[in-house]
Amino acid sequence: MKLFVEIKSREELNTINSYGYVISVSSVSSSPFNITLDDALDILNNSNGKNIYLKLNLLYHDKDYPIVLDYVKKMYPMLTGIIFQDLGLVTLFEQNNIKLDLIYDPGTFNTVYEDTLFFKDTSISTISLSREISLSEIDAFLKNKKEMCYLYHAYGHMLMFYSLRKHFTNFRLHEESFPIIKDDYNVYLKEETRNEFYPAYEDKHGFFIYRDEVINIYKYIDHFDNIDYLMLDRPYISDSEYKDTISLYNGLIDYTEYKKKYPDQTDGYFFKVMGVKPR
Amino acid sequence: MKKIELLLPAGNIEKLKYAITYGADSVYVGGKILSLRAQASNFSLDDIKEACEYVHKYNKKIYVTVNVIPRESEIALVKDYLINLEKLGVDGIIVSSPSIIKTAKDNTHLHVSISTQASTSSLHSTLFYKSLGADRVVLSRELSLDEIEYIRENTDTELEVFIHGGMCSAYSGRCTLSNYFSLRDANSGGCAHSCRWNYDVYKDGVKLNKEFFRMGSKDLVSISEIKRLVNMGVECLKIEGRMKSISYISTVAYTYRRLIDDIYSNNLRPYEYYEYLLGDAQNREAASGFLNHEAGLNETLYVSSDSEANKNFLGIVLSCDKDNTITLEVRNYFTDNEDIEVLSPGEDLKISKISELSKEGERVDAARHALEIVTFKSIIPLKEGDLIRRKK
Ligand code: SF4
Repeated sequence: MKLFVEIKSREELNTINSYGYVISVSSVSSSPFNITLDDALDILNNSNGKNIYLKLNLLYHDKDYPIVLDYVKKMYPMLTGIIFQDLGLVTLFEQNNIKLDLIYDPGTFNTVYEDTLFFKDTSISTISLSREISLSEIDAFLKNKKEMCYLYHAYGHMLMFYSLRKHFTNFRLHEESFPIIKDDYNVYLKEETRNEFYPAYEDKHGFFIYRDEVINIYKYIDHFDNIDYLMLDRPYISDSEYKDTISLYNGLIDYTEYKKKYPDQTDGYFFKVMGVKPR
Repeated sequence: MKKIELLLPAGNIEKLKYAITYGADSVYVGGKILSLRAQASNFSLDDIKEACEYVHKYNKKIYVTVNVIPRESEIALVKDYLINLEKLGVDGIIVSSPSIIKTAKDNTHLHVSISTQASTSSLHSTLFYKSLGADRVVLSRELSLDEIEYIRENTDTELEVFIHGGMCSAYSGRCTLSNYFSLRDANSGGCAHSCRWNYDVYKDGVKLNKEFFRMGSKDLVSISEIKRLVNMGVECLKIEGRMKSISYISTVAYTYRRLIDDIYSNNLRPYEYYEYLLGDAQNREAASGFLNHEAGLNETLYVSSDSEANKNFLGIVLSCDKDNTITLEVRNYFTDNEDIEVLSPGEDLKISKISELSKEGERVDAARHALEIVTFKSIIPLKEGDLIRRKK
C-alpha cells in the first residue's frame, strides 16, 4: 500500500518520503494548517513529479464553486488529484473538462463494499472506507475483488462533527463575556461528564470537532495488505509525532519503540459494537 | 402547474391515517429494517401493505425510508426487501446508500429520493445524483431559499425541502458525536442528540464559558417561507417527526394544508393565523433554520431541549349526535364549560364550548384520565376524527 501525508510547506515536500502529498488551501479547504494559494502554487511548481493532492473537504454550495474552480484551474495540471467529500465536484470537473485523480472521502459513509461499486462508472478512482466500521467489517470489505482503489485513514484525530453553523460566534452572541474564537486551533470542548478534551475550531467554512484520542491502526497493518492507500491525518498532531508516524509507516522506526513513545493511541472503533438503542 | 406535495411522517398506522385525514398528500414510514429512527415504531411488511391500501384509497402516496448507511450484515437484505416493497404497492423509497439506490434502480421501478443524510447542498450535487438515477433529491437543510431557487431554476430533478421539525446541528450524516460518546450510531438511527449536551470550552487550561456551551438546533418552522417555495416550483414539502404524536402530526398537517390551499386559492391570511393554528404542536423553540440566512444565535438551542407534553390537546371526537352531543376519547384533563377549538379536516378552525360533560351517563365536573370516554354538548356540530384542543 502507498502512503498519503499532509504537508504544510515546500520544505516538507522535499524531506518527507511518501507516495502522495496532501495540501489544504485557504478559501477552499478547512484545516488547522491551511496554506495560501501562492504557497500551494510554489509547492506545485517545485513538485518534481511528486503526487500532490488538494484537500477539498467541504460540502460546497453553489456560491462556492467558482472559487473552487478558479483555484483548481490555477493548480492544474501540476496537481495530481483531489481528495473530496462533495459529489457535486465530480459534476463540476466533468463540466469543465478537468481530469484529475478523484478520491471520494466522505468520512462517515462507505461502510460496505457494495456502496463503493456505485461509483465505478463515474470519474472517481478511489474511495475511502468509513472510519466507523469494525476491523471485521474492514476485513469483509477488503476481501472482495477490487473494482476500484481504496483508501483508509490509518492515523490521526478523527473528525466527528462538521457543521455550517458558527457555534463559537453564536455562543458569543448568547454570552457576552465569551471571547471571539475564530481560526484558533488551541481550543477544546469538554463534555460535562467526561474528562476528555476534544479539539474544536471555527473558521469561515463552519465548525469542526475532532475526537480527543489519536487512532493508529499500525498494529493491524496486516489486515490492510489489500488496500491501495493509507492516509495519515495531521490535524492536532505535533510535527515531531507526525514525522515519527511517517517513519513508522515507512518502516524506519520499530513499532515497539514508537509505541513506548506514544502509549495512548487507540484503534478507534475496531472492536466496538455500535448500536442504535440507549445502553 | 402541479400542486406541491405535502409529505408527512407516520410512526404507525394510526398516525398515518391522521396524517392523510388532516391533509398530507403523501406519507413516509420506516420499515423494520434498513431505516433510521430506530426508536420510531417502524412498520412490518403487513403494516406497509395495510398502509399502501389505505393511502391509495385516497389517491395519496407512500414512501418507505431505506435510509441507513448499511453495515455488512444488512447488505444481503436489501434486494429482496426492495422487491417486496414494490410488490406491496409502495410508491417510492428514501435512500442515502449508493448500493441501495443501485439495487432499487436495477431491480424495481420504485421512485427513488436521495435522503437528506446525503446533505445535497448544491445544483452540482443534485445533478450528480440525477445522473445516477435519482428521481428526487431531498435538499440539505443548510440551504437558503435563494440557493433552493437557484437549484430549482437549473434542474428538472424533483426537489424536496424540509419545512418543519427537528434539525441536526451538523450537516446530516457528518456527525459521529453520538457514535463516539454513546456507541449509538447516528447514521443507523441511534443518535443520542449529543450536540444538545452540556460542554465547556477550554483554551490553555482556562474555561472560557460561564453557562454551558451548547450546539443543538432549534426546530424548523417555515410558515412565511412556503409561498416562495410554492412559487419557485419545488415538488415536495417535508415534515420531520416519525416519532411525534397524533396531535402533532394532525395539527402540523392541518396547518400546512390550509396554508398551501390558501396560497393556491389566493386567499392567504396573515402568517400569524397559521402560527396560531400550529398552537402547542410546536412546543419546542423553533426558527426558520437556514432558509432566510445562515443559522445563528436565534436558530440555536441554548435552553433545555426537553419539550413538555402538549396538555392542551383534549381529545378525539368519536361521534356527534343530531343534537350535537359529542362522544370524545380524552387525551388530557379538562373541565366542564371550557372553551375549545376544533381542528376539522378541510375546514377552518372552529370554536365551541364544553357543556353538560358526562361520563357513563353521569354528569362530571372534569375529564381526568387519558383514553376515557366522555360526552358533552357542543354549540356546533362536530365530526368523527375532529381534534379538540383548549382555547388559548
Ligand atoms: S448529535 Fe446532533 S448533530 Fe449529531 S447527528 Fe445527532 S442531532 Fe445531528
